[in-house]
Formats: sequence, C-alpha cells, structure tokens
Amino acid sequence: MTIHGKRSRRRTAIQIIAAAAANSGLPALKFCPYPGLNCYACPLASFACPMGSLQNFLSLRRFPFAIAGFFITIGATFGRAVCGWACPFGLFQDLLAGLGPRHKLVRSNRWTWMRYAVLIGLVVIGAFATGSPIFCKLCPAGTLGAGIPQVILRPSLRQMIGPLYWIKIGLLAALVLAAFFVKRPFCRFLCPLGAVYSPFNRVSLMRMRVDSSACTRCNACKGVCPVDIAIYEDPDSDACIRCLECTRCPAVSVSYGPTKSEYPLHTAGN
Amino acid sequence: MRAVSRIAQARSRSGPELYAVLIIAGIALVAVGVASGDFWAILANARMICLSCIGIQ
Repeated sequence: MTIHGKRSRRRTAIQIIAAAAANSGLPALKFCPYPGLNCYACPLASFACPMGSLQNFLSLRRFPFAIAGFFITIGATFGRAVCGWACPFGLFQDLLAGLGPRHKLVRSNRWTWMRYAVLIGLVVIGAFATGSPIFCKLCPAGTLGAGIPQVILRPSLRQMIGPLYWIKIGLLAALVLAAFFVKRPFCRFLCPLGAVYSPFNRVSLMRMRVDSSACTRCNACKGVCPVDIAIYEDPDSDACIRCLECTRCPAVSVSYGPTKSEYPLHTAGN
Repeated sequence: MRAVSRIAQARSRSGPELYAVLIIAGIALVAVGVASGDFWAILANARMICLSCIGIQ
C-alpha cells in the first residue's frame, strides 16, 4: 500500500483551530481545563492547564475529583486523540518536524516509559511532596506559551528574570532542536499529559483497527506516523496519538462503538 | 472475516463495554468535583500567573 502526501491538511487545520481556541483570550473559560497541554499563564489562554491544575490540587493535598473525571471521560472516549488533534504543543512539534530533514532519527519508541516517570515523579510525587508545581517549572510548553510572551509583553518582568528562566529557555531550545530530527520528542518521551491518556488507548470508545488480510506490512503507516508507530504491530499501542494519518491506508481504519465494524468507518483525508 | 464477526458478536454479548463504565465514572467524578467546588479552585489558580513557575522571581 502507498500513502500519498506528507500529512493530512484537515488535521493541521483542526490543530490550528484548536490552538487558536485554547488561546483566544477569553479568560471566562479558565474554570475549565483544556484537554491538551496549554499553559494558563499564556497572555491569551482561555482555559486552565490540566497538568497545572492537577499539581495545584496535589500541592494542596486535595483529591482532584473534577480533573480526574475530566481525564477519565476524555481518555475513555478518545484515547490519546487529544494529542494528535487538539494539543497546541503537539502542533508546534509537528510544524518543526516538517522543517527538519525528511529522514528522522530515533524511530524507536523504546523510551516512552519516561513520560510515565515524569507523570509520577514530577507531577504527582513532586507536587505532593513539595507543595509546588515542579513540572510547571520545567515545562517547555509553559516556556513557549507563557514565559517568553510574558517577558516580551511586560518589560518590568525582565529585571526579575532568574536562573530558572534561562534553564527553561535552554530546555525549550534543546527540545526545538530535537524536534527537527526526531518526530514529536516531547509527546513521545516526556509529556505527562500523554502518559495520563495513553492507557486509555486500549479501552477507549475510539479504537484503531487493522485489516490483517489487507495489510502488506509495507511500513507506509510508520512513515506518515507523527510518533513512528507501525500501526499493524499494535493498533491499541499506548504511543498512538490517534491522529488517523495511517487511515489513509485502506487496511487501517478507526472504529467507534461497542463492536468493531468490518469496514472502515472513517479515514483522514487531505 | 468470519473470525472478525465472531469477535464482534462476542464483544456485543459481553455486557457494558469498559469505556462506557469509565465515561460514566468520569462524569460522576466531574459531578463530585462540581459539588466540592473544584472548578472554583481551578479558576482561582488559573487566574494567578505563577511568576516563579516561568522562572521570574
């Protein structure tokens, strides 16, 4: 099978619309977390950051009922589709990947366990033990969406920049550089929000499906996948971001509902 | 194709799917969160810009 074109323009359009909606400057919506990683200190942020909100509850030693329910509802419905369609930082990395060389490095997903380590170590234990949002202090999405714009827009803040700011800039710069050569390095190896949604891929309403009789294992799906997955190896992989790029192959489809349909229900178009 | 059909039939007979249970549980947790004022806490936290978090002391 051959998959033509680099990536779905429709998905890019939806990612841009989602990023614009998350940063539309309507602060009245900040009581609600955004499903993707989007810092609420961004000058135009419309929603709360789910990771920041989770850490706030944990640092207050309070169980995050609403955040947990939010994650479970989104995850059980869409799996990791939020990462593929609605995360502004995912869009940023996709765009950087498009600017880099065509043949990427690190095509293995062997180190994806690190995002679980970030979730448990920095987000959960870090916030609970220190009473402070430790992950936020390192988050590159926060540096891009809030740290840099706030310093540009508020000159008075420039005199108060500390060493942590430059560490954050360094981390972001390293990630930007990596994203030219590795597809979505943050999403695959470090994102704690992706780690929250990942386990739901195996049980969610939205599921990937491969017709093994039609699949030739040509790896065209891996070529277009933003996280370097050969979907026929494990359609329910926790690394899959449900971007549906691979559904451009007739052997791959997505199913919704209690039973798996024998026919493709939807394919991503250009 | 027959194998897929059998799997589909088995899945349809197996009672409520796990995703349905999880979605209901998730909505219930959100409702508990609403009752316990979680969204006010989220709003209060989101309105404050944590300068130390963005490296400004």
